[in-house]
Amino acid sequence: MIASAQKTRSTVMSVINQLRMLLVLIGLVVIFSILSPHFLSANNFSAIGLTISVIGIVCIGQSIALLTGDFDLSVGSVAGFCGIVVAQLTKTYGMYPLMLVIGIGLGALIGLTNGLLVAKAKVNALITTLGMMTIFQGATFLVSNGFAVGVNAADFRFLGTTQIFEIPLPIIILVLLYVIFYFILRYTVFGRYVYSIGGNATAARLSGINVDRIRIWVFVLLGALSSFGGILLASRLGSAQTTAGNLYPLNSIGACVLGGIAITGGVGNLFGALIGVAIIGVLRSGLIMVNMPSYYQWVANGIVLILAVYLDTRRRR
Amino acid sequence: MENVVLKSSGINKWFGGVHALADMSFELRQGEVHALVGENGAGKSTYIKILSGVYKKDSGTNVFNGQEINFHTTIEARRAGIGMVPQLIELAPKLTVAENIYMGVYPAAKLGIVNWKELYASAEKLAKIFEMENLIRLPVEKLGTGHQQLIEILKTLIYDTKIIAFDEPTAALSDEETNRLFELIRKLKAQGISIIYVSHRLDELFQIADRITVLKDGAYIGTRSVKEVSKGEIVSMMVGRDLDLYGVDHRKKGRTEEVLFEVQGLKAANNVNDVSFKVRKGEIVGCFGMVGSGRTETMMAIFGETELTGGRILLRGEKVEIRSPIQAVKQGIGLVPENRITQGVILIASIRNNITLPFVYKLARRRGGLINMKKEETIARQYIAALKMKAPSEKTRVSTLSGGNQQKVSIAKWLATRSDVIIFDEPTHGIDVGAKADIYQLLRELSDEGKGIVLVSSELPEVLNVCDRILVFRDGKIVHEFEQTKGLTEEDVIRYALG
Repeated sequence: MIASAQKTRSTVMSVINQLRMLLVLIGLVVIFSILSPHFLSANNFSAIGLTISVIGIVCIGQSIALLTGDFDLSVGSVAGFCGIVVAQLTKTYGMYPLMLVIGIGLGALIGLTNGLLVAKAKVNALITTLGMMTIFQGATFLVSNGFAVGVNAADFRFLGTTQIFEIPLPIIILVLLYVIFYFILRYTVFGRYVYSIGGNATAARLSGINVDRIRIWVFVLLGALSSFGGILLASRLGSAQTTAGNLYPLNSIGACVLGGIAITGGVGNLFGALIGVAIIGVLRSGLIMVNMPSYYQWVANGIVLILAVYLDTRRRR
Repeated sequence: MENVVLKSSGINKWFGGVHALADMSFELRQGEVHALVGENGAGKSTYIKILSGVYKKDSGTNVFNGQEINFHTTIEARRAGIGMVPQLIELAPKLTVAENIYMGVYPAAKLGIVNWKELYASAEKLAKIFEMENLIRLPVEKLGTGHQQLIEILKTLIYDTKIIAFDEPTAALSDEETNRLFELIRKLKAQGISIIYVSHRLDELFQIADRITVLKDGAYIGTRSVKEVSKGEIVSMMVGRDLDLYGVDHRKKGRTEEVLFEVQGLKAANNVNDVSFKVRKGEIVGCFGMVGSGRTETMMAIFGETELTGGRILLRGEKVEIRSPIQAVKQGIGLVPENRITQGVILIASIRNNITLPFVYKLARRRGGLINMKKEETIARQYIAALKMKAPSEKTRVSTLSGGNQQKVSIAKWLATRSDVIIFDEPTHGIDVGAKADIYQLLRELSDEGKGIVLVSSELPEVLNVCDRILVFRDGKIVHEFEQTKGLTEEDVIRYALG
């Protein structure tokens, strides 16, 4: 009897922790709805969904990396670089579906490099991904000579601009990917290894888990997802921007941690990360709606990131 | 003597779903050494951590010299006169002894600039208590465990200390260091300082304590004067039953002839110099040696965690390549590592996820990578019951369990994996007698099932009473082998270990 009462108690506590951020999200929606008459509308929510669809996809990869106890600062550069490369290739050669595959493969390859450097060569993850971030920021400018690459081909724009029952396809893709990866993390061996390594890499290794291999795979996945995000963004806008992913590293980590994924690894889930992403999207849209100059977004994002880590620290005390 | 300095009553503390302290009470007189004993998870460490400001209690009162106390930090507690010497040494290895003693409370002038002269002067004065005044400028990492522990004690003596709580102080000490610690405790006692002494080693308590309070499952069971109580009585208070630690004697020379596992001429860079031994089916082989004799290093090399520079490993007579724990586990070898917290378990994961980790991929075979959760749950519950773990459910986080139950999780992993050879490295280190007896019984059951068991231990009574055969390690080699353990004395074995 007592044991079952305690069990209920701890289950309730964890549900409350999950719901807390959902309440923050709802609170923000309520506040902005009061401040701006245009905020609470299907159109605006659809717009918010579109803006978070790309960072949201990047966040899936970042979440998995954080759960493993790693992180990646090169996500934005990879997204920007792969977006430009695919746009340039499609513009020159056409054959968009092939170029899409090449682009995602390129992202995976960059991820593989990150993974090998971090897991095998044992270079610190901060330095590795910071270095890769700069390398591919530079590479993006080199490929594009510093100009955005516009593509108007219909197939190139299909993923980003199609609507199904008036819901933009990127939002559907986003939700689908979250559902898929939520289940992968929760119910597959790969997911279990991710949580175990993030929880205690030494214990995982001494249990016979190939820790290096899983960490490398996580970076590969992260690279592929970031690349796909970048290509999707270019498809939506009709052009690949050179500075597309500049805010992704901080925003993706901030959103994940805000959503309850521990920066130390092993704790959290994708549902939380999605709420974190939504909070960032709502904040951004809301600030625009109340006529704040766009640079305030940067300030707000910084505050949100620090706040997220602060809450994470408090949760674990 | 009858002057009460500390009185605790109705103390409650919850960790998630675990009721660590349940209406617990305690009383400490001035100048006494009061031992606090109980099985793992009885709440001893939790209680002294509440006193010294590490944890906050959920309810109850602690009255110290007539005033109710409720500290938020250890420094606050130390200033008020309550110090704690933690179970695990928590020092900054690169900093000097003096810097470590005054950690957090450096003497400082305006603008927070440290007054190094004063720091070293007062550290020198303080260190004289243990004749360590010559060591205060050395980095802590250059000192042995014994000295490091003395630094932890010195930290509690900076202020006018009334109470010092020791949490398992002798766990990492040699006999000689233990004797020196006891001398010191008697000195502190003579100065009127009251000591709370938490330990699993009952023999010690009868040497050093005046009174013993027994806790069980977070509740107060009783207090006895050492003069009026027997060891047996304390044990039965602790476990709620009469306990025979080693159970029925099953030790036997040459249980079977079949060699299950063998290493030949094993060499590794870190203190493994030509080690050869055999483990027969159904046999418990003890590996005894002093700290630094190369036992743990040998086991880590066998398990593939450190690189072999020479020698070979045979399983059932066939040579096997083990370059990492991945291959060791695949070959059917399990290792319960020396440090359960950093190596043995994943604290933030559930009991279930910990137990099934080495073989969880098998539960997803022909299921497209999806784990068979139902089956996993059944397996986890089966081993929770078999090892008598105290836990609300298989989903409970390992971090909320007591040390003994955490160790059982670390062991259950290999039982559930059905490993043929299981290496136990100090499996009973720092756990209570109840859990110890459970583990000894389990080792025998495993050997009866035909597994090969290697037991690495620094506790002679354990090696002598549990193992069928003993290997003595020194300087990275096996210096002697006892074909049987019946009739052996501790002196026989230790002679070889010391050389």
